[in-house]
Amino acid sequence: MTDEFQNVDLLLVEDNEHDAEMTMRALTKAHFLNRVHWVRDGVEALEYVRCTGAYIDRDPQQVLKLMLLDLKMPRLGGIEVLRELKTDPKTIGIPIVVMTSSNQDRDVTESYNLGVNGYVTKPVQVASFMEAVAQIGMYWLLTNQAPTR
Amino acid sequence: MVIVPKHASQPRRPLVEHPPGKIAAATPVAHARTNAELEQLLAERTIERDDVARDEALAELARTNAELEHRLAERTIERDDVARDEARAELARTNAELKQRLAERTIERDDVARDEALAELARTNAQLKQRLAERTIERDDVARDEALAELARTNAELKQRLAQRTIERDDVARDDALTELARTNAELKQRLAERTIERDDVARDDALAELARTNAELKQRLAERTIERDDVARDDALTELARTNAELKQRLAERTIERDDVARDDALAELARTNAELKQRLAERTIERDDAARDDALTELARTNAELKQRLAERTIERDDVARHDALAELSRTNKAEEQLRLHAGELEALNSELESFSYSVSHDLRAPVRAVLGYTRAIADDYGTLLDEEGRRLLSVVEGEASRMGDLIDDLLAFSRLGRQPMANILVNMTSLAREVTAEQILASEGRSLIDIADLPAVRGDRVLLRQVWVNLISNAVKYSSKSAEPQVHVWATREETRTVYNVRDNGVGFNMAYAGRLFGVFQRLHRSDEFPGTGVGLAIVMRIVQRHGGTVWADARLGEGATFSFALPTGGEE
Repeated sequence: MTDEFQNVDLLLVEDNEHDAEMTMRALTKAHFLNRVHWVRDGVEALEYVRCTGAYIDRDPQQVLKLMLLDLKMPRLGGIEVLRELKTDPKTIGIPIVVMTSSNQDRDVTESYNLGVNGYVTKPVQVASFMEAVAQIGMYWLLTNQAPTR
Repeated sequence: MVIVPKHASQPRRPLVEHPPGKIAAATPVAHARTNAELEQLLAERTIERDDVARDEALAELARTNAELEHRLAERTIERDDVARDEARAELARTNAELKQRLAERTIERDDVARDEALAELARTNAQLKQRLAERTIERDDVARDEALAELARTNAELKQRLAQRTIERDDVARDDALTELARTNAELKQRLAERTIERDDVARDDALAELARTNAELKQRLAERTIERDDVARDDALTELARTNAELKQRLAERTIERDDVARDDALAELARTNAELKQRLAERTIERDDAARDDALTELARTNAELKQRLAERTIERDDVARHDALAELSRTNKAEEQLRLHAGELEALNSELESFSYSVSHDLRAPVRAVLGYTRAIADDYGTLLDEEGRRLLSVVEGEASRMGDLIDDLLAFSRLGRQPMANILVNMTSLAREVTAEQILASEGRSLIDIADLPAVRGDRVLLRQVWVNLISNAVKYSSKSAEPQVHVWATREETRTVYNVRDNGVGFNMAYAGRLFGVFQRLHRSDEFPGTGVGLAIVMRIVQRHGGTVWADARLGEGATFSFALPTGGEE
């Protein structure tokens, strides 16, 4: 058991390192950075949540307040991650917001059908992007009440 | 039972036998009596003895009968035929014994005694017989009742079995009948299908063959005539023939619509040939002819005409079939063409959707690097801006500005690309409130400088979200290109036409040279530099696409420096 992730309540699932850096930069400005852990695809995301693989020593009592999930990723995409977590009674309560370049109706519809808690298209413009990330962090980490288990 | 006379054991005396008392009493008298007296005495005693014996026998008989009756009476419950037979046998035996015993008696009895015994015997027998008969009847009744009950039960069972079997048999029969029916139908359909195809050909061939045969007959008959005919008859025949021909021709002419030319020409040619032959033969005859021959010829001619008429009628029906067949073939050809069109349309659609999906994914994949460029440029400006001199910061801002414009272009291109894929709603849209709603936003954006006037606009059926985008693009353009005017004004109004409504947006802005009007609605086409009026050149392309998807048209009218009017027309109908 390790307390490495004791403070983490936001899991960023993003394969594009630049997008990840920009997201974390925005979260830093909003003073949420120490609460973020970044994984680079769906497989790692599931391992983190289920305390398996590289995260076998993570304390399962420590639950997420938000997962920021990209859709297009290698190995395991965001839609599959959604399907896995939202059909498992143990993980169905984790709030998940999709943040992606795609604004295809099909992706939006499918995500909501699988039980996503929010869907945000990444703005191209920096200011919009920063503001969007900050707003998401504020709402889900501070305003919203997430399940504690 | 022993039936023996009481005195049988007494010693027998010669000639006479008498009880001792009587003999003793008679002894003193015997000396004085004669033989006749003795004989009479003996006769009397014989009679007496016979009476006693008879009485005894009768008593014995009565007792025996009583016993038999008693025995018979006791057997009331379980008597079978054997018992009766035994009783009969016993009776017979008893009777035989009695008869024998009676016969054995050596002493004679008088007829009366014997008759009585016999009568008694007969009576007893009759009674026994009657009883036996009565019991036989009773037994028969029981047996009959049982037999009837058995019969009734058997009947009931048989009826039930028959009922069940009738039901089963009916089901089987019905199934068989249905199967038979289905098979018969299938056969009939197939036969009909086969015969429909062959019938037309066969019928036509038959008609032609018949026609040929009739003509041949007529020719032969005419040839066979050896009798001379007069000129009058020939003229009459020719007249009749001409009249008939005229009629036939007219009839043929009347049926010009549903007959194929070939059939008519054939008929006419055949007719003409026959006539020509007939005429020639008639003309050839120089000998005089009698009236009968002329009548025959006329009769024959009439018959031929009737036949021809009938054949024509029949062929009309056949020709209808042919016409129908042709129509079906035509339909099939049309269907084929339509199928091909559909195929082409499908291919076009597939191509179109492929193109859209391509442009979408290009736009989509372009966004990530632009976002990165913008993000990192901002990061440099934020974190290291103080390390750069003014020129360095200017260069950085150019990078940021151009990357930003690229981002806008991509977003607009994405929006444009989505227009083709989006499903369209079809509701009644209040254009007045829609235009006012958009105007309110634009006034805010233009910081209240523009004067925007919206007239009442007719409603239209369509997709509210898409139509709103049309108003946004047209009104924002009008505001934008009139923003440099002293008193910017935008006027929105509509005119109803017969089958469409024309919506107009006019501004008093910079306008444009109509020579370039053709480029207005192309993607990324602009008539002004973006440092004059910012924009990507996608807005009007989006307007045109939306209007076209609603079945409408869009156009512009302008003069350089005197403002522009953009109009779009949407089809009316179904607004009420």
